[in-house]
Amino acid sequence: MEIVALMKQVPDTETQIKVNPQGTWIIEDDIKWIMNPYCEFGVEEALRTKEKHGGTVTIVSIGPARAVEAIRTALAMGADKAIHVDDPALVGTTDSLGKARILAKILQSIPFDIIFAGKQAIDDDMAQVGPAVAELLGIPQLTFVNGLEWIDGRTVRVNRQVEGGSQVIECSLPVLITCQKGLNEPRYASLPGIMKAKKKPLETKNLAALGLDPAQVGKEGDTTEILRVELPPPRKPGKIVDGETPEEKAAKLAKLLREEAKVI
Amino acid sequence: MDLLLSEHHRMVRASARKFAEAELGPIAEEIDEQERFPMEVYRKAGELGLIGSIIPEQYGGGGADLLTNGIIKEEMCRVSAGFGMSMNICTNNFCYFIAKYGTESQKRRYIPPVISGEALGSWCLTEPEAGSDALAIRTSYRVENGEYVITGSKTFITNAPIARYFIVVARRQGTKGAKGASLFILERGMEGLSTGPPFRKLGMRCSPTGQVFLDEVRVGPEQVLGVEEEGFKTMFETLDLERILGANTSIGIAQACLDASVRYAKERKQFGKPIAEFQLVRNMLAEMATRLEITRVYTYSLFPLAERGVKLTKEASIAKYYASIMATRAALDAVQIFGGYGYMRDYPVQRYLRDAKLVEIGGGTSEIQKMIIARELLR
Ligand SMILES: Cc1cc2nc3c(=O)[nH]c(=O)nc-3n(C[C@H](O)[C@H](O)[C@H](O)COP(=O)(O)OP(=O)(O)OC[C@H]3O[C@@H](n4cnc5c(N)ncnc54)[C@H](O)[C@@H]3O)c2cc1C
Repeated sequence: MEIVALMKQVPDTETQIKVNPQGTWIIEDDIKWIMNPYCEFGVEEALRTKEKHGGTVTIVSIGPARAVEAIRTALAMGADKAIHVDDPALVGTTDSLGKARILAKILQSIPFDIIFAGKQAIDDDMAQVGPAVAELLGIPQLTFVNGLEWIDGRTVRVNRQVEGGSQVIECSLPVLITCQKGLNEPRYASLPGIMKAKKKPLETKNLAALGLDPAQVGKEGDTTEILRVELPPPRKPGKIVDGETPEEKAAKLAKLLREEAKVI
Repeated sequence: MDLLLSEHHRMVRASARKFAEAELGPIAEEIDEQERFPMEVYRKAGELGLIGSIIPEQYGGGGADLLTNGIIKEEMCRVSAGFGMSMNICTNNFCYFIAKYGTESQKRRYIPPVISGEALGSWCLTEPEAGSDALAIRTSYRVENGEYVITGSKTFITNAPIARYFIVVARRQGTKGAKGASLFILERGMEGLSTGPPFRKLGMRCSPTGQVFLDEVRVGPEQVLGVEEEGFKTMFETLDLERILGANTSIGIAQACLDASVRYAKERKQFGKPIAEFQLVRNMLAEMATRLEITRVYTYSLFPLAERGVKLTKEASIAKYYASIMATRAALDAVQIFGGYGYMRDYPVQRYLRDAKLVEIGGGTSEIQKMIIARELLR
């Protein structure tokens, strides 16, 4: 089976985010980078799929040179090969559609039966790339998947998290699946895995090599523009309701909830 | 600092840290309290290839460079120094030693069960009357019809209460000083070999430490490790690496102290603001980070040299000595930053302090390291 996992490198969840002086993006120096945790579920599921059905797992990732480290981590976990897209024209792009076009272009040039992606990247939280790739490829998509079983070698049954419950869907391949927490417990990269990862094929391509026009998928081609990035305002200190008796406190609280918070 | 490392070493650190935080983190206090070695975590470390990282691939190891093991040890020690110490006895003192000096059949017999996480090894030099003065060991052997009969006792041996294998230093009867010692690989179950109960310790409490008793243990020549009667020479050849790795224990503990202190200083409020705003607290953080980072860079720089076989007697002692006082200082300050909470057993910083103290003693005390440094200077 030809299995593909789309993967993005993102800032570590524990990193203290600072906004750049222009207020347009975060300061990327000094940040520790990791594999997007939702993509990690995808990589893990790709590896489990290979363990069940055989085949190869290909990692596809867009990002600057530093992204290679996350790609190697996926290879160390057990993926077979990787395609990395890096191009100066992509610096500063924030557009999900442009990214999806690049990924779709690659996927049109390689065989695939099933594609895994994170449900979203934890940096910009767009949750659009996976679905857009499926649309561009004209294949079905199953999003927010937190459970997956194989009916046979060509059919999956997934559990999707939906508001207030879950939805079970069966789908035949090819399909694109975006992965949610709960799907699996990603494995650690083992030491032999790390050693072997160095020798696995990792191809870095620029837009020209993919036959893509920077005016379409690069910074210039962005269909959206980030106007401003700001940190959430610091939380206001809580209010302590005082009073002589519990009754008095309750009355004051009810008044505040109605008049100030306007929730009752 | 990590930017100075290669992609390989950064990946090793990321994976080892993830493992340690997920598998050891939740039980670190409990195994300290119960004085229990977490065999289940050790087995998982084996499955992940963390125990045998530096062992050649043909014996099931990872074939990585020595710094890889230094980083793994450091990351284990950052979360549970006792676990890191016990595991590294298996990696470095047992397996790496056998990989370097053992016969082909010794390598095939002893390395795989240890690096897979199934069994523990131990390294038995210290005796009741021979601590800093290692040459004073009395455990001895005589040769009888091509067999070796070993008698004596060892103490303070890491892993002894639960180990399956023991590398024992013994001297040929009638010899003295630096000559006449041989190394033997012994196994639990051999007639005449027994171990005592685990000692009750100040720190490193999940790492079992105990005595080994040898009463006329009879073995064939296949149990001799390295060149007969050159045991001390062989041992001294490996001391540099052991001491450099000793520094990694300290670095791991100090990193834990720094991480905890920075987090707590930002959270804890007194006089209406986080204690991180007070200059005297900031001073402790700055001192801690400075000493830690400099120690790390110095220690890491020694690994590639050790790999090439460069003699590093003075440098290894400097690393071990300085790292150990750096770690106890960091732990004392971490407790100070935590105030009364730091003194409570519910917070891990008191454990860092108890664990850190060992690194000034085990593997050669600070006094002995300073003796060596000065001796090398005055040569
Ligand atoms: C938890 C733990 C684990 C250990 N694990 C192992 C192990 O796995 N294998 C093993 O073989 N050993 C092990 N040891 C033993 C350890 O290496 C010794 O404890 C250490 O070398 C010191 O020896 P000692 O305890 O006999 O102290 P002593 O040598 O009696 O030293 C007592 C004091 O005198 C000082 N001193 C001694 N000689 C001099 C001198 N010439 N000049 C100045 N000061 C001096 C020392 O620095 C120290 O302060 C372990 C010890 C501990 C506590």
